[in-house]
Amino acid sequence: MIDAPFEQFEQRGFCIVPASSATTLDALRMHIRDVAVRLIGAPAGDVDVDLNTLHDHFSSSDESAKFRLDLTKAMLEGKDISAEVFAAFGDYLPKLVGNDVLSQRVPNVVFQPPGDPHPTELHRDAPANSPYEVVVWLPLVDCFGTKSMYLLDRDSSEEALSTYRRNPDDRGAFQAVLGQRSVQLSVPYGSALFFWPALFHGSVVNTEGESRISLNTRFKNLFAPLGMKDPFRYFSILHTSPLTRMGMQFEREET
Amino acid sequence: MSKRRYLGVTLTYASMINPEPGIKRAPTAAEQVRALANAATRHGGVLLERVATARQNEGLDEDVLQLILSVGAEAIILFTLDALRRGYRIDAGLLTKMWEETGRIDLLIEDVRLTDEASFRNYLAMVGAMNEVRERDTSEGWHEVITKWDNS
Repeated sequence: MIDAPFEQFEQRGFCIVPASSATTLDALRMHIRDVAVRLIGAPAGDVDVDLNTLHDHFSSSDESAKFRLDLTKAMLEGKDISAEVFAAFGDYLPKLVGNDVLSQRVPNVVFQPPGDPHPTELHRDAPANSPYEVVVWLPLVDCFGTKSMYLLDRDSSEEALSTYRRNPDDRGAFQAVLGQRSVQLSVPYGSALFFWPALFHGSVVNTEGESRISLNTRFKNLFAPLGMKDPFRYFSILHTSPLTRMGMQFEREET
Repeated sequence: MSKRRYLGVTLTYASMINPEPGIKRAPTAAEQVRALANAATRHGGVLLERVATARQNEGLDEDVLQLILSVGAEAIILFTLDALRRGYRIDAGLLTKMWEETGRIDLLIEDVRLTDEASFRNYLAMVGAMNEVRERDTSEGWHEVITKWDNS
């Protein structure tokens, strides 16, 4: 059963998988909730309610944007968030990236209060990111409808790209592909969306009346080809296999 | 308590305009020294007056090891790891020698602080792997592998 999502991943460029360690994921979400309520000076209650109603504490986009930046920094104090994400989905991720793993040093936090006029614009990560990475999009609340994100699968992303290349000035044709082929994803808390960085994706204004808060982070094999982004700024080693450690020591000492 | 004495390493960029994707202008030497001094202070140290300078893609001269001794540096702070880059390769040998002389290396742009043997070894492994990967990625042999890959 573990292999089943990867057939879809290879065909469509994405899959949604349940956490293999719900305990690790719950602890991670609790940590982020605790940091969030500390930053806004609110008491902690039910974790799901606290996160879904985060928007109640902000009166402007600027305030919520500042909160997002503060949360990104504060959640990392004494905690390797990407390592926790990898552990929570540890039955799956090694099958994509192997046992010698680079992880994104600072995961991105996305906070989209209802009605916030700044959703994530349509884009794709690769290039400049390496096409050998996997993006893990981890909702900390149930994400559905406009509270979630959309993407174009492999075929649709390819079609969108070729439409753009044929007619770079024809925004209407590109929008038509986007309108017809984009998939609005429902990803419940407890699961993660894995997607290939060459897929087009984005989000729309959240009209669901609840806050969307999610993380996204990236993993790749230590020896996979690099993208244009400097690996030393964006990645650090998460795991190495015993064999890799032996090989690298050999190279240092004997070559 | 005396403050940790940092030797700063700046980088002279090959081009001041668009030194890398997304960056409009390279920082000048004076700007880099100010940033290094602020960072050294933030981490409980002080930047020494003498600063070593590397040239982009040419790396840092091994004379820096003598400089470390002569100024009594207890730590190194590089503006960026790129100061140790020669072409595609980071000079892992010089990085190791600098570590052995001081036991503390900070990298400002990369926001990395190597403070113990474990953190240094882990970082050195990454440097070694990235050197190999970059060399392979740019080789003709690798290009041939990718273009002839049979997905079936």
